Amino acid sequence: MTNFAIELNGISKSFGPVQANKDIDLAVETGTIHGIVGENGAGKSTLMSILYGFYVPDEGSINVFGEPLQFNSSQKAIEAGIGMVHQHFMLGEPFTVLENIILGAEGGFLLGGAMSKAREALLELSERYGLSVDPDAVIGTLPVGVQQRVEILKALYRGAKVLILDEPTGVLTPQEAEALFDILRSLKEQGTTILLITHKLHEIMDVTDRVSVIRRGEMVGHRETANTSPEELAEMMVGRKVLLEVDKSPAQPRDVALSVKGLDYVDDRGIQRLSNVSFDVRAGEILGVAGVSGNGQAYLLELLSGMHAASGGTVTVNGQPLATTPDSVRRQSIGHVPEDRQHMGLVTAFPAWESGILGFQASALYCNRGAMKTGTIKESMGELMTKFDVRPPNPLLATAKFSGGNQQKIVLAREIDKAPDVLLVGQPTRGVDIGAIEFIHRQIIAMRDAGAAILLVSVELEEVLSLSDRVVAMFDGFCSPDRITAETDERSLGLLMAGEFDRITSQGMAA
Amino acid sequence: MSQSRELHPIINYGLVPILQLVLAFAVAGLLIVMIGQNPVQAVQLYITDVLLSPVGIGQSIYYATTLMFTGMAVALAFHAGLFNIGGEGQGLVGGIAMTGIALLMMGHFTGGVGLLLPGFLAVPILFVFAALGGAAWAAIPGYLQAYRGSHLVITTIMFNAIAFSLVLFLLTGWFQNPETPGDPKSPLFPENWWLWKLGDYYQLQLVGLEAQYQEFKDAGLKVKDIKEQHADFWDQRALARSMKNSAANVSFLFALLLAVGFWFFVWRTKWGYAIRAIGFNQTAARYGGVNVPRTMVMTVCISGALAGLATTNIILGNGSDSEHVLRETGLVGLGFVGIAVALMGRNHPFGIILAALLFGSLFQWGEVIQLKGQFIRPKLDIDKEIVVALQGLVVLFTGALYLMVVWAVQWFANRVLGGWGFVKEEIGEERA
Repeated sequence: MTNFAIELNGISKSFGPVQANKDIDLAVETGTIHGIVGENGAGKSTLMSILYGFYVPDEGSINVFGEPLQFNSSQKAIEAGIGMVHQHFMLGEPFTVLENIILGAEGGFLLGGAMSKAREALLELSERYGLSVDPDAVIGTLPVGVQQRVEILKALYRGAKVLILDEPTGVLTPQEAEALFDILRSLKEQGTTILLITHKLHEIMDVTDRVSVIRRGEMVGHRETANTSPEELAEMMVGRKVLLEVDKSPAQPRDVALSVKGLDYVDDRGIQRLSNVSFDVRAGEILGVAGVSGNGQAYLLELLSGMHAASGGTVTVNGQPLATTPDSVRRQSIGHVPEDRQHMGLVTAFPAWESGILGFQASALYCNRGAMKTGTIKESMGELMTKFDVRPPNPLLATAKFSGGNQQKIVLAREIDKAPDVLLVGQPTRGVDIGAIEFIHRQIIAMRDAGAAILLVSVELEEVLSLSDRVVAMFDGFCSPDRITAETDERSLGLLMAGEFDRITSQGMAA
Repeated sequence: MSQSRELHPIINYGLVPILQLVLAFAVAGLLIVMIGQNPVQAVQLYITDVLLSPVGIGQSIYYATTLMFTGMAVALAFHAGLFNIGGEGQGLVGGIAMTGIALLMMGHFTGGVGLLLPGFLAVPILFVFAALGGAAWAAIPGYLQAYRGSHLVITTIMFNAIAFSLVLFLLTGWFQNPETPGDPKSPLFPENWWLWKLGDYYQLQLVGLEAQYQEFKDAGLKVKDIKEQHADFWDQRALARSMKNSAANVSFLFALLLAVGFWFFVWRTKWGYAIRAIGFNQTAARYGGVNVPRTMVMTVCISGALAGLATTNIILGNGSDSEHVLRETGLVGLGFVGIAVALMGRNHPFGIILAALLFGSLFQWGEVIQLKGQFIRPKLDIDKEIVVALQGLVVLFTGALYLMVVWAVQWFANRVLGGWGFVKEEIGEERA
């Protein structure tokens, strides 16, 4: 009767007094790639969780290929032909590809039969969609891009005719992302319907046929991708005009403030995490560190902020050797905006005024002989929150109650306010809304212009390219030689991110 | 998606605990019915002989004092995400340290050659040693947890067992009272080191009252006449006679002060900040410059010191003149009950005070049931261990099934009252 793979009619869902989804209609045509964009917290994930049977909506109905879908059962959703590829893969790392594929679909006490059946089906699927994977490879040894392929195969093996991908490129290099899009296009040709959830507008423009925009739980509009532009989509997402380009003047670099030479790090389990990392950051410039997540950037930041001790190499700050504890590093005038604000940068259970002094709780600013200057702290935190546009600027509110972007602004406010000589910034805009990204980028540039040396680690290539003055890439714990950002492009940086550079270990041997 | 499921504080901290208690009492009532007794009688005894009786209130406060110390001990460790269930052992070793220095001052080890300090000097010393003993006993498990990763629950349980053996060893040897060879207890602490207790006041009053009584008798009045003509006097004397052993003592006031100090330390100092940061998120604490293992050891030591201090109430503040001694029973199980007190008091000193008073009164209730149940008609034949069952139920409903009650209240507020009772949420705007 219809050629819609999925129809959502008037879906509403609230958690307590918060309306996560409000009267959402969505129709996805069979055999198309349909994008869903929206800021963090706009309700994309809630909507997809309803579709996949994790939540029951308060109102509304769903049809899958014209048949009404029963809610609150992932099993029913799978039977109806819906497959989900999560942002964080749901794969057992010590298992082989084949074992992961049949996980949950073993179909009996003995594995043998299911395994050989699955092997055949897997080979057939791989061939049909051009998804080549070795069925006997152990997941943990495979690159992320291939792991994602396994996730897709897993869904297809279960008979998925509609594939939902939640932020699939977050962990991929540009080249891997391009390969993924090729796969998606070929799936589409074979008749699979794809729902692509993302906040990266260029991906939407690249690969989708239609796109729907969600803002604050409501469907703002649907567009044919061919008839829209990133600017229009951004405006629909945020509700006002957004500047996508970063406005900055050329850097005025001065002396070297942070110098890293031959840094090695071997973790507790004996795994080499960093190998001979060397770079300099000058006062008044931003050095960008590009790379796919998990290539050593996190360890680099933790070493430089004193959370771990290096296994080899030297780090100097304004000519002095780097201190060895987070506390003493902070006193060397190094600020640190950690990659993971929820697990490191903030104590989310604390009220904002307490989170806003994390790391400075013992400083004379906030503490007098052990007793906290509660009144002073709350007052100054209120002012600081207003200055950094934290919403709401209420220092008494629990940190967890702020949105991701506002939490990030609390961290930035805390670190930037102390005017450190060196600022380490990890993923400054991860999980942050477009509107707040603009603000955060402006703050980082202002910091640079005020003479700070800034080390910017980000997996968002656009961010690194638009903010930094020089750029290096990390791969497998190695760090590439630096490039002038203005003279490099996404493609060549992508090659560096994939490890296409001479890797030299601290022993001087090429690896 | 940010979501508000938070109940209004008055409901969350007021109504929810009350509902939990009602549930616990209801189930305990069922238990009493099941053993063929009348729960109404038991409740009557609770009201008349515990809540409305001066003796009952005094004894409840006495038990509550111990529980405030042990409850705060558990709560402090809890704020650092640690579960110190070694209160019993730390209390015992606190008692050992205190008794050790006391016996030294009493000349027990030196053939009677000692330095019997006056109370105002000796008592602070005894308190300090009780705290030090508890802290020292907690330090080892604390170190093992912080630097070696041995689980505190396991090590403190083991240290409880070691402390029990240690105290028996000492009480049958070096600390043994030479006058009572068959009874493992220390010599009696000198009277001027005993804490001022409520009973002392009544005892003092009783001296005058008894003199007055004698005067009445000398004037030829019969008991019946005194009762009729001097009713006020008679009541006063009766009260004084029943209260002369009341064990509620100044360490209750000390515990109250300590509760204020607890609040200040945990929420208003950089150390408390570090402790709470560790409890919520160790990575963030480390990022924030907190020396996590060192702070953990410090926290466990202070926790042990609080448990050690509990012993002062039991030895120096005892209601019975002959019981100002160290015994192997130590905190008589109140170290464990401290866990329940901390749980129910939500690790906040104010809640701990209330919970300690509740549990203290339950303890006294057990005593009353045991002593008086036989004499009322119809006979109430319940063992005082019913209180242990009731405590278990309170822990069950306030701890393990805490969320069950919260969910029920949330469901009720959401579905029946249409969202009333939730905090009107200020949620950070999604855009800048």
